[in-house]
Amino acid sequence: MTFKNSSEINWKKYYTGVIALLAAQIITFYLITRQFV
Amino acid sequence: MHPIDWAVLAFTLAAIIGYGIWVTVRRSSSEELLVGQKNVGMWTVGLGIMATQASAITFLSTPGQAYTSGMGFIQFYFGMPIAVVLVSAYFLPAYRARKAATAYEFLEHRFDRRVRLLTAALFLASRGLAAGITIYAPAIVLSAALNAPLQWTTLIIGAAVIVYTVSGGSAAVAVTQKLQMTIILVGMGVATYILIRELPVGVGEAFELAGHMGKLKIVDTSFDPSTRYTLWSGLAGGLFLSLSYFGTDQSQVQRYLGAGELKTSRMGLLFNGVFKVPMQFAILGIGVLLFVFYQFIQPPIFFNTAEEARASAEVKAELVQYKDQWTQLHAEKKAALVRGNLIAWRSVNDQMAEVRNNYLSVAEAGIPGFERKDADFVFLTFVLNYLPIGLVGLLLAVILSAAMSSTAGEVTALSTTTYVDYIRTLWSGAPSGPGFIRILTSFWGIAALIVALVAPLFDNLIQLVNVLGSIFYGTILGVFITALFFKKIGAKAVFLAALLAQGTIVLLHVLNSSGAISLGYLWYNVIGAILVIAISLLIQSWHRQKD
Repeated sequence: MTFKNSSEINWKKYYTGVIALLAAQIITFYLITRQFV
Repeated sequence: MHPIDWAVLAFTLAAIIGYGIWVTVRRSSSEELLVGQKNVGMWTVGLGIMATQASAITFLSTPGQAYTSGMGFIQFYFGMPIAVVLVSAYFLPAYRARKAATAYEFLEHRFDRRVRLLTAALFLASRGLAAGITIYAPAIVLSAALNAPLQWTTLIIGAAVIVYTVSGGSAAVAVTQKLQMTIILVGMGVATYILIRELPVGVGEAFELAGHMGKLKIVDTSFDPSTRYTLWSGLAGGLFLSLSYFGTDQSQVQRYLGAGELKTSRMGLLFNGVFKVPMQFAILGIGVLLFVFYQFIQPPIFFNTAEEARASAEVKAELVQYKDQWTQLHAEKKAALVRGNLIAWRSVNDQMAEVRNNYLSVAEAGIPGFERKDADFVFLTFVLNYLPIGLVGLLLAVILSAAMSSTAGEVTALSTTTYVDYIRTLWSGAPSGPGFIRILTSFWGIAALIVALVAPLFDNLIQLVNVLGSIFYGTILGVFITALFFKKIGAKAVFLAALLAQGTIVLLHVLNSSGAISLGYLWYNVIGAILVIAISLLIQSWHRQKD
């Protein structure tokens, strides 16, 4: 099994993933809020 | 507390301290004491960042916050994942490219020594005091809850931290934080399980009830500036605060610079960007479940019972009548809830709030120095009263672990900054052996302990220290943003801009404290950072015109 070093990793994908996850969380929280208000 | 709980508590703390010393003490070089061992993995870095940030007050206050005001507080963390991405993409590679041991060392490479010393001094001043409060704040809560003298709880937390940070330095902090964070997560998981088991209704029904009672207003999209937590203040204010904290505060920078590889540091940071919001959601969720729990089981009228114990017999007699009304009204509220009559529930709930207010007014008038805020005691009261024997000790170990891990992170960062940024740069023949680093770490550990021990002598010290962080953070962040993104700005411009911006923020704070203006402390970070950038751009363009 080989491990990629830092320069071989496409960090942009990771960064986009973190921000997309945040957006998904905010949307979910927003929907929960709307459901009960 | 039961002897088994004391035994669990003592064993857990001894295990953490012993492990930290055992793993690191024999092979701690000066470098390892200062920045840690290079062979640490992503989990150690990631959990270390999380453990430094999550102090004991996080676990004590956050459920109480949700209990009283609902889950809207989570919006405060929305800016954090964005900040972590920016730190990972821009700040971290810049530090590593210059092989900096501290964030401030990078500034000497980019600007000059003056800028480095200025930012390091701002860090040492604010973090030095804050380290004391990280010990003091949980010590107050534990002393009240366990009915133990405040000096004892303060000394136990402080002395434990000093023992392993002095023996193993930053390397010991890295290994113990992983263990501490694991204990914290397991402990909080167990507490949640017990709470769910004790609930008279199912979890789904509990959340539905909480929603109808207004506790699940998580996202507030209004632009009302008087609302403290909104989606916008969370994204903007939270982004600036997290950027300052993760990008420029040595207690955080040290955690991820400690890793040998860029990949490990980045993964550790991104791990926090992914897990912080869900973790806070879970902790706030405990608060909401506690709220539902206390709709069925009668809560005390005031959670910090130690405060009432200080009252004279006359005042106590007066307070009893409110307690009786409270008991009667709670029975009515529970009956309304069982019938499913939410209108009646709301009406009784309002009456209970009024009774509590009357109780607090009488207590405030009759008990000298009465502390009205009891949110920090909500979760602890549940732990002490409803958790089985053995688990109470484990949960107290969680709180002490959190206090120790964040204080240890701060103390080692303070000694590293003192040595690397001041002693090594200003004193060419400075001693470099592990013994000297240990003396510095003991100095900061003892200083933090002294601040914690004298804190009760000053009113509102906790608030002052929290504000102090916001006062300095903005300026420090502004200097770093200028260093990274405004390549044409030189040392002189940024140094003058930092001094002017800091002066303006202090002036704003004086005006704010006197009531002349009304500004949330979070905004100091945004204004300070923007001022440094704007003023240094102005000075630089003025210089260019003059040339």
